[in-house]
Amino acid sequence: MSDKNPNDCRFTKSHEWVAVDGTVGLSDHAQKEITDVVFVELPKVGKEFKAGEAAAVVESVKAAFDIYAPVSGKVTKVNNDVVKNPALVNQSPYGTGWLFHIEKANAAEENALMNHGDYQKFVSTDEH
Amino acid sequence: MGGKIVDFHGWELPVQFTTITQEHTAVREKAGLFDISHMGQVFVWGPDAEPFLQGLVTNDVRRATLGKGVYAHLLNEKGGVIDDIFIYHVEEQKYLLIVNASRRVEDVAWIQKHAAGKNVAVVEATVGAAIALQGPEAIAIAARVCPSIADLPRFGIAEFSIGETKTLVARTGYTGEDGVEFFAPAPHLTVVFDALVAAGASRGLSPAGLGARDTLRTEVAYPLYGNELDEDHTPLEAGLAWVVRWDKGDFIGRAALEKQKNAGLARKLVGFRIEAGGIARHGATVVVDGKDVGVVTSGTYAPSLSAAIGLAYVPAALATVGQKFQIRQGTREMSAIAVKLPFYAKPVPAKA
Repeated sequence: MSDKNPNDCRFTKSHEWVAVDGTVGLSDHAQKEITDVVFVELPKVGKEFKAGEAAAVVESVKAAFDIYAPVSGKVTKVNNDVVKNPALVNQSPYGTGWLFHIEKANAAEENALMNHGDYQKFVSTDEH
Repeated sequence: MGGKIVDFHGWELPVQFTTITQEHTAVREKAGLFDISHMGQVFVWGPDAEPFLQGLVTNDVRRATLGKGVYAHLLNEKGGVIDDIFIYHVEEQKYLLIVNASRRVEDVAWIQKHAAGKNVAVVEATVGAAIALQGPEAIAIAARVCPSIADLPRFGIAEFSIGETKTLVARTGYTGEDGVEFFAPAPHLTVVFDALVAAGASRGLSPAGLGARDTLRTEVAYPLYGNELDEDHTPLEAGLAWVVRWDKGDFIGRAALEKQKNAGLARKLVGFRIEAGGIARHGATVVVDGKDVGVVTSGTYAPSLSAAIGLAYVPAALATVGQKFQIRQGTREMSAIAVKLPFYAKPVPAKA
């Protein structure tokens, strides 16, 4: 999967991004805050989530972080490479560090999410 | 120098400067420099100092001959651990106790209470600062600022001059690596810190925070007060029987420990490695055959092992290498297996 351009993605306040094709990952800002990602747990293919439900777990040396489904839908693919090599989340948050792919149940839902510019403002104006 | 800062018992302390893994690896392979000024420094001195301490702690204080230190536990009457401390014999009839930040107030009150009527003074060094230089390059770096530091034996302590500045230096640490710790009033130690940073620049010295300090100590299964040790657990349960010297005479908590030893231990600290499911953290529940049997005291990812490890109190019968556990953390379940401690042992270099 080629790298996503963050300018084409939508962002949640909990730092997930979702691409037009339904790929989900963690923002560059979040991976920098978490620092070394050493464990990733992904949902099962076929599992359905509502927007905002915990769908995956990313752990650093010291803490665990829930990853929430940015939009509602069914998981159609997961990135097993990132399970084997969690550092990909740090190395390439918009590329090989993607987490899972969701078949969007409601295309309008992501309009409520931030675009990249607004997300960058969001993370720079406050400590998140 | 920057870094993520946390408040730790009133001290502003760096958790990490770069990443925990990088700092951890620097300490295992080169050297790391930690600010450990949060540790309490308590001086006990006077003609009764040795017999007084002897009655207060588990280890034999006579093993701390002049210029040496011993690790020991301060127990309550029930054998529970009030604190785990280092006792350095710094001068004739004078000892420096290094105590945990979280226990400083309780320790000083406890020691002072028992000092009443004895010919001994108990004084806390309120401006005492401390730094730890740890790792295989640590001694070489320290020797650059003061060559005679390299002559300190393991657990040795002595005063050294770095330029105009005097500092106590001990060949001890909390990482499983060789290294030294410096104790002095804060203004003096700033000078030492800068000298070490300069001396270490070409030897891979990295600043290191509390995060790496915790992963390093967990890998070598050193206990952390508040995790493995507290007033409800004894040193025997914590697997630290070597800290208790039965041949030294009486000390507070001895009778309770003897009783526990004779009755056999009901629970014990066990080390485990996670086989699947994530990283267990402090407070997670240990489950065997569907029953809650214990609690995780420390759990972390271990950078030197590329694995998740942890320590837990479980019934003694389950504290055997190879025992399988489930670990429940919130809604998550992990599988783990009991392993031998320490998790990490320094590879012994091949003899030339």
